[in-house]
Amino acid sequence: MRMFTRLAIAAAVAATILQMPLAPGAGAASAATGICNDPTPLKYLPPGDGVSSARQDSAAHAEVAARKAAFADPEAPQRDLGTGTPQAIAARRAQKEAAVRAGRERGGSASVLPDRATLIEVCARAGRRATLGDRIRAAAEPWVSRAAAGVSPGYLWVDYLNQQDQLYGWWCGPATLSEVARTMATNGRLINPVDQSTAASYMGTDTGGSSVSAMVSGLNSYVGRPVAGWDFYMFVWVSFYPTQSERDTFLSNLDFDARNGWPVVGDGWEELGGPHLIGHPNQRIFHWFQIGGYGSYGASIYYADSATSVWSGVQPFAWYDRDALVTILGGRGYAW
Amino acid sequence: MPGNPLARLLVVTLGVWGSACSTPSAPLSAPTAPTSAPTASPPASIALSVKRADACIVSRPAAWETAFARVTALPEGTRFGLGSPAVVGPTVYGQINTADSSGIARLDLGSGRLEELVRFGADVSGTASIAVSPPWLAWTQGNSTRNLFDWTVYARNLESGETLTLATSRRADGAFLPGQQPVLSLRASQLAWSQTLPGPGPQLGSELHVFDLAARRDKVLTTGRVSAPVFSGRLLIWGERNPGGAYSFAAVEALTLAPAPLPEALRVPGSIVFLAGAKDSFAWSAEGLMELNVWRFDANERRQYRAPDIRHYFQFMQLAGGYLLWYSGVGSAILDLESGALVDVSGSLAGGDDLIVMEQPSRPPAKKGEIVASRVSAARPSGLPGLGECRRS
Repeated sequence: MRMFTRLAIAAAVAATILQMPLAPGAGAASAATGICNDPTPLKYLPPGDGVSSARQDSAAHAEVAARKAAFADPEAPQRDLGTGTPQAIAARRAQKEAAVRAGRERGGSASVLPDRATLIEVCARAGRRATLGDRIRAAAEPWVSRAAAGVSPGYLWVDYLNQQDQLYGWWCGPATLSEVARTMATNGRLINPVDQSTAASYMGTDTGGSSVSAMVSGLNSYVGRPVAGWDFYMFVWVSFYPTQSERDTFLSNLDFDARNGWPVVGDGWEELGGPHLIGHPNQRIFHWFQIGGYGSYGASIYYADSATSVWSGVQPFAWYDRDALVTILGGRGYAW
Repeated sequence: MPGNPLARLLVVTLGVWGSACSTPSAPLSAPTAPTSAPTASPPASIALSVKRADACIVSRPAAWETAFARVTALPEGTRFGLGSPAVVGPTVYGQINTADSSGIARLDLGSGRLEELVRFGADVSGTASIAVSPPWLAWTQGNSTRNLFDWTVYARNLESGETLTLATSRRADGAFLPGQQPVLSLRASQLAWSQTLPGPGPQLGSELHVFDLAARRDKVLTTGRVSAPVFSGRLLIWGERNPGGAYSFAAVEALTLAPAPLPEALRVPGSIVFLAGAKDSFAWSAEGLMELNVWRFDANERRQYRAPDIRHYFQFMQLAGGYLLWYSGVGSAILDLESGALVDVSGSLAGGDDLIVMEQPSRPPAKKGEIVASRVSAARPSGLPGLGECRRS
């Protein structure tokens, strides 16, 4: 019954608030009730708002970008910034929208909260096992409020984001693929989710890691086609020093996918002196990880990190600064 | 519905760097609250208090600009990244990067002389930790940018040039030990670290090593779920986690390695993630990395600071003369432990007993692929005015 309810809620959300633009300041939406199927992100929510009017350290970021550009990245021949042009994104978005409208994706599952106060209230209640009535009311209200206010939620995430310890130091790719598959399975959209070993074998993962093409192929083979019936995932390459347009596009794409219950997969390139995911040492590291949503009207990103088996300072889930995260994607990109 | 895994942060340690934002905060003069009674029931006469404060972001005072005004400019195309408390007198150790190579170097801030000490192989990810106590230089090297389990701990006698391989994750059968790269702490010839035990996962436990570099003698102090240890004051301190998940500290006398009674301030630590030690203070961050605890040995109190935002997670920390230096994952920052005010630093940081060293890019890159030279400056924290008070805007 609970699964049916969640699917119904998710379908309602997907069908009704699909195309709302992102904008800070919830206005009327702040009074709305949100949907919190999965209260896990609340456990990791930082105190206070978590974000502030941050300044970009543009000189330092440019310096990191320059060093990335100087590095002989084996993926360089595949790098195609054309994958992130407005035309390419719009075309892909149209495909995804059509698929969602056609109902080929068997419904998504996402939590949607208009603001932080509502998140805390509703997710705390969800953590105490919300009643069916709560969930139906929660499903209906934000749509009405947002439709009136015309704004996006402050917080949005794919429900029950799975997180696994990567079994080997070079298995962040297989771990991330397995996490995405298990997320979909937990949300009732996939059966027999792929495990890390199978994923590693399929992608040909070795101590050099998992390539971009192998990862996208793995995502589509084990998640995209089984869930949506087509190759849902494509890779968007990001500039060494991401432009504002690329930063906005990332958020917009994450918004679309997360609303529809699809995790995004990041291909991080952490460079010495540049930003790193939480708990990662200040070294050059290439790392796949699962991105589940955003908060603070897009200023923060919610992700799962399989490197809990690598560094003990790594949290399974974390909220992280969005600008810094897109900088980490610079030179590589993300599959959405 | 299945729940997601809860925080499984083990214990860790170390090091540095940070970045920006601005939120109102409460000054450190906030009312003090007594800690809950320690389980070890200490004498009432030494009841410990905890002062709590929200850290706040401030602008760097003009006096700081003056203090850090003397800059050592590195040769064009040479970056010198810091991040470990590897400062000896006026010499700072860090990672050097040029277009052709990377490795470890030392910079004499008096003469401006930069000397390359170690050159890395092509796929080396960098150093997780650098520790120095002349004539010894020790470091943990990440051997791969893609295999996060591949690491080696080295020590080099900078006088004789002899290099020792002290530990590695590379096993004889070609497999790798799971778990993180060890974080090192070095005092005199005693090098301390913890490393994971062989097994299917790091949660099985680690062993805590103290290697006497002069005597070439290794001693395993303890095993279990232990953090990296840090020398702090007269102690070597580390965190432990019992099978029930509860955190605690343990300590030995640094000189003799004999078990030492735990100081009152460390008896009810809450959760423990990153540690930092100095001659006069000790710090640790809690799960979530938004809370920092600092114990100054001369004070009968513990101070707790809350990070102002998610750009200032407390991790990879160092202590230097009344300041905390850290790398948050987004950038580097310096926290005034007296007032709770912090400043962001565009670059990296290293701290010594009485020196804060700051590395910053000298300018934005002029072209794609260019490695911009670092500019390095230093100041004695004892000569710096505080960062000011936190004010509500």
